Amino acid sequence: MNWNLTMALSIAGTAWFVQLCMLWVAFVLIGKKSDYVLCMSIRGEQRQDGDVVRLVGEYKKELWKWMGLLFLATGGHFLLTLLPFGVDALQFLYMTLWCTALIYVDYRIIKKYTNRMYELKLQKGWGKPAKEKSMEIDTIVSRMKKTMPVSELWLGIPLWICIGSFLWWSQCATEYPWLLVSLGFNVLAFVFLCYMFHRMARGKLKVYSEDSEINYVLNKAAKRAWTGLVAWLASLLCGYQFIVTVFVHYYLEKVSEGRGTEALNSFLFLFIPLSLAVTGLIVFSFMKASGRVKQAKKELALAANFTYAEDEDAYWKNGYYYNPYDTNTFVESRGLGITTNMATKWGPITKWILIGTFVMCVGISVALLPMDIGTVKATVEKDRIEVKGCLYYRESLYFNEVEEVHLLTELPESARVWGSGTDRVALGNYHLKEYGSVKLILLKEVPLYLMVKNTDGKWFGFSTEDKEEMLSMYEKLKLYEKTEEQTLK
Amino acid sequence: MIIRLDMASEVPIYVQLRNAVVVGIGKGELTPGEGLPTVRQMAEDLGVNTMTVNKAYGILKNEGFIEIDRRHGARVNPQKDKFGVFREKAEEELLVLIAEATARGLEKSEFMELCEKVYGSMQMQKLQTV
Repeated sequence: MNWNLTMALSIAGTAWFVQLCMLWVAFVLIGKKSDYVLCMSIRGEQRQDGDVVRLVGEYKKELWKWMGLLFLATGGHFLLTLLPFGVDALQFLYMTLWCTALIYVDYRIIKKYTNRMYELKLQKGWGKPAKEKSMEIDTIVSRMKKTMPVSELWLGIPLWICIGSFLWWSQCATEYPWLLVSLGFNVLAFVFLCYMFHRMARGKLKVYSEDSEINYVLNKAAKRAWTGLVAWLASLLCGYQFIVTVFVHYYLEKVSEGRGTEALNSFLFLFIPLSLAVTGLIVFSFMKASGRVKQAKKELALAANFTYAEDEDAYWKNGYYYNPYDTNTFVESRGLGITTNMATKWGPITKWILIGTFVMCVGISVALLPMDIGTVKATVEKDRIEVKGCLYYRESLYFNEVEEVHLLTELPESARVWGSGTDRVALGNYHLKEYGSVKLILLKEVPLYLMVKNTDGKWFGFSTEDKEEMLSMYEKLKLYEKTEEQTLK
Repeated sequence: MIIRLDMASEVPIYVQLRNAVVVGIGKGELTPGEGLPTVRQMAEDLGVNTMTVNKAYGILKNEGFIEIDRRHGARVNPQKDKFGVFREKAEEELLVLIAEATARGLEKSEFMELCEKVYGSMQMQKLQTV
């Protein structure tokens, strides 16, 4: 199978997985076991009402229609492979735009139908609307708040794993400095999860009933479940990063032994099941935490004949939570897991982080486009050869520093250490069998590669589209090649 | 005890909070010796400023409804009106209330009936809580 098709298949596979997850979350909103239908509290016989059933049917229909169209749109990845040049960056751009469309369509459909369900509920006169502009507190439960969340000490586990990752990285810091970016993101995510834990542990308590015991049991169940989930997610995330860091160390060792390809293959065997396992564990953890809270509510409802004093549907009518009278930043979602209260300061921040992520992905993929269509140019100057590759890759080759020159018609087995590479170009630092560490700026399409060793003993390889130009440069460089005697001197 | 504050009301929040605690004590929902949330907890859970809660607690302490201990936080401790301070205050407030009732055309019997009803319902709730 050729490279473009493999890339298209892996990208489309990721897209299908993302779409499947979105579809599943969209269907959780109308789940039969849930207390809510499209974010609105509709219980018991109300669920069997003709208008509710009809609205749910329309929601499903629209969801399937749009998701079907988006599924067909993933075919674009395969059409791109028909283009007469490399399409890696183009495929990445297409994927980003497709994901943006998916999230936007999902958001529009959920917003439309939660609004309609809210209006229907108002028409039918079901439930008690939340009293606007009111704040309430159960003084007895409030005093016991500290006993509700899981211990903060659980965050110590991810902290130590995070420190472990840094220690492993420090052993290969010079070869793999970019891993610091990944570790930095890991630390940021960990700090964010700690903040989330803190906010959730100290967050406002809910008054579900006039009975303090009911309020205590429900608040404790929610706080334990959600703070426990956050601590677990932090451990999972840091553990994943630790495994990646350890592998990079192992990979570098193999590269130095000239077995980089073998190491990379074993990493792919490890990385794919590991990523799937981590994703599965995250989803399972969310389900488990949601299940615990629901179970506590159900048990209490049966034991104490408890019904909710009021509902907060007015704050969910757009499919997201917007309650200016709730100081909680993170709240239990009416779908799956946790969501942000968009009325707090984190609301706009969440929105802009989401928008910023997509803008950044589009920006990166546009910046990488030269890798698909760009070329490598070499110009001979008075004292040097200037090699300009696509992106920011440049190198100056001074004639007086040339020690050894090879012209290759086949590239030796290579492993990328850091840089960019497709089946068309190789840019950055590589490890080449028989050469060791080499900086490459080359087009793989033309099988003529110039390998030049400078007086510092470092190898540099390049190639351009023009065969004749390559041959003339080889001859010119050969003139400056130092003999053994000169080298010894 | 559940305290509800109306954010749309013209009555200041600290006054609403003070009144809610006093009504709670009157109804027996807050019993002598019962702890109240700390200023910080109360402010966090109500979503108001700590200064607001501090002010309400300060008033409640000065009026002799609660005592504030550095180690245990605030506790309900209603003091008996030994020196007739409350009697004086009640008289002043009743004067205004009765004047307003008279101006609105409320008869003495109606006013007394209303007082009886409100006092009775509070006593009834206190008995139920106990």
